[in-house]
Amino acid sequence: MTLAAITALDAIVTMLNSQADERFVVIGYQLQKKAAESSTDKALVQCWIDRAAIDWSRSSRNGPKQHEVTVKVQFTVAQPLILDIATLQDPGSTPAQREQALQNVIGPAQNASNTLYNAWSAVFEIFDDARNKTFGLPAGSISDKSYSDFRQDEPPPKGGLGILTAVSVLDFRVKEAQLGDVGNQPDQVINDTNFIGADLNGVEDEFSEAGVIQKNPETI
Amino acid sequence: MNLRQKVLDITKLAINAFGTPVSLFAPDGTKYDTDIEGNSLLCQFLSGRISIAPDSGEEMVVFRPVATFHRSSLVRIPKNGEIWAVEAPLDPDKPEIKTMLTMDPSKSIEGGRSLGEIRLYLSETKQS
Repeated sequence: MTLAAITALDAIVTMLNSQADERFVVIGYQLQKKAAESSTDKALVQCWIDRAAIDWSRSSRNGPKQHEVTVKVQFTVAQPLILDIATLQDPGSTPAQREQALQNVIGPAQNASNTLYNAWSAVFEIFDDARNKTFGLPAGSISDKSYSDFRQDEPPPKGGLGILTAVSVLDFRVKEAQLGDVGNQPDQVINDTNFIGADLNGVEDEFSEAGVIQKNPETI
Repeated sequence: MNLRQKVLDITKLAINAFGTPVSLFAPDGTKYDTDIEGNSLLCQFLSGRISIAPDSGEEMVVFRPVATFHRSSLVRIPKNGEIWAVEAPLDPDKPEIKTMLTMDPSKSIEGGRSLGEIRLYLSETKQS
């Protein structure tokens, strides 16, 4: 039995990837140590459940529970400097042409910033789109959705790429239905509701191989 | 000869003996393939992957190319805030394959006159 919170996270990843349109790529977990180059073509978006708590004021002790879920949506971009390399490498280019090429660069910090904001804008629009109210899950599955709290980190000072990371927060509520876990074995089946476990003479009934208690013929 | 002069000579000697030939593109478009004496322009070119820790908390590994020149070999000394390009071989086993890297204003130059070195922390570069 998968928690509705985890089903919702999977739905978020699927929804974002299906609408990414080559702008970013989404994974539903945190990487331990990542190569900066993995975020050069597209922004990397990592989603994970940062916190989940039962709202007891809206939940039943023995029935469905309202699960308040906070998903962190982290952006990572790593961008090179953009330059007209062909002009610099062209043996026939003049100093004036090369000077022009060097003046028209887009630095890695600026390039990373542009890429980050493009990815954030796209993710914001996707979450804010009324068609994505329930992340593609059935109506009523998700409630109180809010996407907020974007925070950009300081760029690391080292490295040949402009690297930027930022974290945003998605809050929503799901209903956890308690259907029981497969690891919890059901109680033994007894095929005689009047069975009391032993006859009046103290002779106990026997168990069959199937685990079903067979009635002692003498007690019938 | 004092100690400082000796160190200057040694650093220059090391770069001239073991340096990598590169091309430098100045902000005014001038391309330098030779040093101030007309020999091949050499630098100590090192590149590798280093771990960095952004504020996000996850460790990242990023490529970091560094070119160290001897100041006395350069016709024009790069200054902070300028955009220079360096064409250098990333793979020492394949010197014929050169890659364009750039020094941009987002990074500061290191080094000084004591050792006579100037270190350029370069950025990976993509065709516009």
